[in-house]
Amino acid sequence: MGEHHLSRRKFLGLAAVAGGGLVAAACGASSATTTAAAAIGGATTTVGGAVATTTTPGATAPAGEAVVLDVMTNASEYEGAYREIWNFFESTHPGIKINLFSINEDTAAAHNTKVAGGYLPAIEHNQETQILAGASNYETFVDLSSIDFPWFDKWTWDVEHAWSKLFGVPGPRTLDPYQGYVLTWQWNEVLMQRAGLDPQKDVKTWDDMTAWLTEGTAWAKAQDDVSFFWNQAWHNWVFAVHYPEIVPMAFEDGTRQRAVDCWLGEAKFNAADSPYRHFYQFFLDASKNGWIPDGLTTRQWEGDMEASYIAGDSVMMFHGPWPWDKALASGSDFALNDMQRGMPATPPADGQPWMQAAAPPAIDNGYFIRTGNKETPYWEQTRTAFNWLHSPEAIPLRAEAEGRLPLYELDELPDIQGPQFQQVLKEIGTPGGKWENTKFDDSMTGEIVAAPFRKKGSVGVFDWEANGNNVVFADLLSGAITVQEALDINQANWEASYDI
Amino acid sequence: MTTELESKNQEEIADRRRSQRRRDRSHSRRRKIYAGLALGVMAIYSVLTLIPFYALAVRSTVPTKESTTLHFWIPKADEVNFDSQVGNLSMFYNLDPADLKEAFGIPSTEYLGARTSLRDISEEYGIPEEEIRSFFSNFYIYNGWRTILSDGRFFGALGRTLLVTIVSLIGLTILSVFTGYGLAGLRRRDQRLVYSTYLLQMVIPAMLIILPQFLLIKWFTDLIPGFASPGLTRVIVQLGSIVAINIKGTAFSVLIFTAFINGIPRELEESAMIDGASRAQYVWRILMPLLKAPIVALIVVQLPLIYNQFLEPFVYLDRESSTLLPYIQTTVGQFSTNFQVIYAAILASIIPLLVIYIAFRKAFVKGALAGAVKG
Repeated sequence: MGEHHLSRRKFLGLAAVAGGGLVAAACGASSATTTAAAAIGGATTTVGGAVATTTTPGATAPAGEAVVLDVMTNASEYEGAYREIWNFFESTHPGIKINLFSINEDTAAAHNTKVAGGYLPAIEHNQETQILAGASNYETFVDLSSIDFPWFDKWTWDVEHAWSKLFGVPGPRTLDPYQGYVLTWQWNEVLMQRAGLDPQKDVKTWDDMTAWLTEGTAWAKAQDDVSFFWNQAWHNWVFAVHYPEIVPMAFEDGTRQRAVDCWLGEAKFNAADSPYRHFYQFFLDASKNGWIPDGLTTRQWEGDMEASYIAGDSVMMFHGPWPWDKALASGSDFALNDMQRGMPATPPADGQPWMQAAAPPAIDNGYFIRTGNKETPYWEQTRTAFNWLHSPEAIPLRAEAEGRLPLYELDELPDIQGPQFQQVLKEIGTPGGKWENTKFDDSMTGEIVAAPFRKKGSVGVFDWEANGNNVVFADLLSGAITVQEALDINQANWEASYDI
Repeated sequence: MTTELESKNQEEIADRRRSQRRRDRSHSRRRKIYAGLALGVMAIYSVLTLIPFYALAVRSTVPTKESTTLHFWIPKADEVNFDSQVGNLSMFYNLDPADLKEAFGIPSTEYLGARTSLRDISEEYGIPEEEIRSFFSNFYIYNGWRTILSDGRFFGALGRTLLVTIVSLIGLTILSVFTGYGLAGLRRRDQRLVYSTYLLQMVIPAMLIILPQFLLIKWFTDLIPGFASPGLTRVIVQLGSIVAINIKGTAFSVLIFTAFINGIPRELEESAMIDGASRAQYVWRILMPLLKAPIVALIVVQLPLIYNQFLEPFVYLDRESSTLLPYIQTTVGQFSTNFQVIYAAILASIIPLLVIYIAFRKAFVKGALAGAVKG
């Protein structure tokens, strides 16, 4: 070996020095480069400080050219409709172009990582990013009370102060103009008629409903072309935020106030009269009686359940507004022939009035602007687009698109043609309606009321963010644990997660 | 007597020959049967291998409303229903209502409400139903393929994916060879610690380091002039970031090359040096030819991983300069129950990879067998 040859030892040494040099250069660079405010995972992890000046390429435009804003759509199911809403906005605001995009459950984490690294969309939506606004991450979101937002007084409830009162910091940080989501029974009326069942007429009580489920299940099992009567699949959010708040309402001791008591520590999740006992017991019964398919916890919400309903392979689901429209969008004959029907979720078990649970008006979940946008050259355009999205001009268009009732004062109530609204919601509590004696309960849920007291990084009661409720349910349905043991887990989770 | 004996011998020889011929014929028949059987098995295997691709191709034309029915061929499509609403149609067909308005001569300032049906449009704007039907006929069966291929972004994403994959594989191979060469020489226990530390990467999930890694690389890329604004520089730097992540020493590549190079006798290197070869000459002329097998192994394993990379490109690249999988995910993601789009996207992403494997199959086999015949 000659003198000029590089030995392995020297090679590795040089590599180490070069690596060290690069790291040192990086540390030097960090102070000079822009920073971004971002939060991940619902915690207060902020990256590089609170002020963001990193801009989205395309968002800065040379003078005279339109500014392009990246705007996230609310629920990817309605991206097409929202595209037209923003087309309309563009036609009246020639200096602003909207680059509409959507994310879903699968890409939310990657999107949040991208944002943490400096990507800064103009307008986003909490439900899609899966990070709700709370006391631990509020600085991530623009304080909407500080941006001359002109429409607070249009809401039919105190949207301007509700969030601040709950969390004790200035706000609001997000805006949602609708009645909360409502989950109801929905079915394919063609198949229901084939089964010889008329639940809208026959189901008046909880016992009627269980009899209907039994009868329908027996019918479906005898059919070659129908796989399930009630098709049910797993969704961690629905099985934690919605179903547990809905099912107990059928029972006298299952009111939302009693549920809230559990969350605030005034009652126990695992008490003998816990409202949540009804939730677990109902699904356990559904499994034992064969009302729902086997292997619930491994069945896919969209691929196994919604697609089967759309294809006319199963009769019904227990769902929100989206699949009513999905069946229409997919061109299902029964949907296009107006043969989708439904009914409120929980007929009464104990002789009390029939209640339909609705998610409360969203105070921590809606459209928001990330704080960094205030430092960008396109802040005025962002504010304009955000304000317009919540204006009396846009709200009727949005309500029509999503088929949801706005809790917002308008000169004229929009004619909501969404199929869930038409078939079920407008009939609830309306004189002469099919369920005129049924009442909505859209009061605050325990999870929201207790949110200010939740410890950072804790699992929460149902551990749904990490899909921990899937394990509990799998164990419950397989007989590995009892309903009492499932409730004990919830109580233990609450004790570990809340500081009240 | 002699004649009898000769005649008997000749008969025996003739018998033997006949018997030999019979055996040959029988052997030949058996060989033909075995060859036929082998051919049959291979043909069945080939057909079985192709069935999923065929099924995928057919499924990419089956709408969700028929998804629970078994289809062996492209189904006959229903015509667009005039009760269909614009909002739902534009979602399902990935159709910007602005394009719809342009196609039918509706002023762009008009707002098409989400619940406006095609019948409403036909009546309100006096558009013949046939014209509307004709417009949507493009969407019926090949809705999935149209969604994926219509705007040209697919081919851009494919091009960038191939570029990133090829550059990454070349870079990864070169760096892995040299890293393996360096680490293979470490014999002492403390030096082996360096090697073991490399292998520790195997237990670190990519998800866990995605954010700090992204921030670290962003510190560097922000230093590059022109990166902050849209343009070629930004695209090249972003794609370069993905390449940089791919070519950094992975535990797998280091494991392969270190182990292989360790198995090459040091005497080979020493004799090359004695013959006057430089270290570079040794690596290029002697070491590299011996490394064909691990190089092929590395490429065969890494090719689909890099080609199918999702998380890093999704995070690092702008949406307009995306690679294939993030593009497909963002396109398919809106239509989670639109199986035409989902299956078309899956097939569209697989085909280029299949073409690569088929085109280079000889090279893969040759490389893989290179070490097998060495004494």
